[in-house]
Amino acid sequence: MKNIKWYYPVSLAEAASLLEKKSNVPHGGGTNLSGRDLSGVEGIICLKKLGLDYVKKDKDIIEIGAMTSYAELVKKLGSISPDNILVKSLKNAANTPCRNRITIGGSIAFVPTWSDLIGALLVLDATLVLIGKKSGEFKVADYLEQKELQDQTLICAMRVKNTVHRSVHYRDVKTVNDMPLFTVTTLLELDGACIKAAKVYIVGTTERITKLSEVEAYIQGKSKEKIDEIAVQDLVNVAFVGSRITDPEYMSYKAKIETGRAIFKALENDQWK
Amino acid sequence: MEVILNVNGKPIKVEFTPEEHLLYTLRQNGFTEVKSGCKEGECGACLVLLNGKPVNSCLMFTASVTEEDKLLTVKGIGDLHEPHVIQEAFVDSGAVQCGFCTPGIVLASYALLQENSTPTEEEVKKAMDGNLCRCTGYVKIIEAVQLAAKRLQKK
Repeated sequence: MKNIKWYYPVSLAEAASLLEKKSNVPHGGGTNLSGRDLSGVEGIICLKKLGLDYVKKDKDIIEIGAMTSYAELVKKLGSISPDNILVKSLKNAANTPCRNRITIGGSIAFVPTWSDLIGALLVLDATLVLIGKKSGEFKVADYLEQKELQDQTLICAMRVKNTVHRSVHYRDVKTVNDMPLFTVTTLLELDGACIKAAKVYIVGTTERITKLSEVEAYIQGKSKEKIDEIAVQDLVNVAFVGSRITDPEYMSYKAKIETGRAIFKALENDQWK
Repeated sequence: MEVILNVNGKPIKVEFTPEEHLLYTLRQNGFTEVKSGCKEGECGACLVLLNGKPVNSCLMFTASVTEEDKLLTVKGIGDLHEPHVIQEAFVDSGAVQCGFCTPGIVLASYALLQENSTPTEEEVKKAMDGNLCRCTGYVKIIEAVQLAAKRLQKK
């Protein structure tokens, strides 16, 4: 059996230096690494002693430590910003014991094909604080696209603006505890009755993440009464990979319906009236 | 590798390989009440409480557990001779059939009742969302948790 070495750094600088060796991988305590083939791994960097499990609010910025579990995030962010889209999207992700272990950092770093987190991060225009080969603050959207941001870097924290927004996260599942086949995440900022800014993403498509720019452009500047749900559906043209249990054509059709519903549900949210 | 695990309030020195999962380490060291089910975090048979929170031991590296962490298995809350109120409620409600899922479900119930002494049916279901039972159909399990909640309040 190969002898993997475990490291327990006590500072971010120490963790960053350990990442210089390409065969070392960080482990924040989540569930991704433990289920993976570790044949290419020589060292595991345990991040437990770095104190990266926190949620803090500084003026209008919320910073979330990378080792914060989904359950802790829902609890802590829920007390600061209960209607935040991150709370809505993560409270039903996976199951209770998994939510107690899955971390924010790991969920981004492993870029999973299914995710209840990614859509929420994208609509919030979230940023990541990285150290390692690339250090600094980068947009989540850039991190997901650029391999050089992913390689030999460590996600230390995630930052989002604490905006007032209306949002809906739809997860398409066969049973409530399933991993979603796809998710629709929508975030609207209003100016009176009109939509000032709109962000709509579907995660789980053939291109993995699809920004529905045409839908966003169509609903922006309109009030609820001026939006035609059928017109919204017509602008949602996304493809899915089929499987033994899923029909891609049906999923494409369902994505149209659920996107329209998500936008109207966000606008009808009573608590914002 | 070696570590001193704190299991059910007692320190125990264990040896393990770097890739070893906590489920295997616990079972190898006599904690066979922690069951090996799906090994992918779906069934909850291997559920233990880590610092009071339910986790799947099949998805945890033993190397990531430290001496400061407190692990609790179902035998840590009560046994055949001195059963916990929850364990008694499961028997009295007929919530145990083959029994394979029971240790995980009892621990999930224990964690729930520590945080919420009067859970609704929906809250019980939510707390059990990581535990599969192929025998009971869950109705008796939910009844057992609510019976335990009532008995605990009277104590």
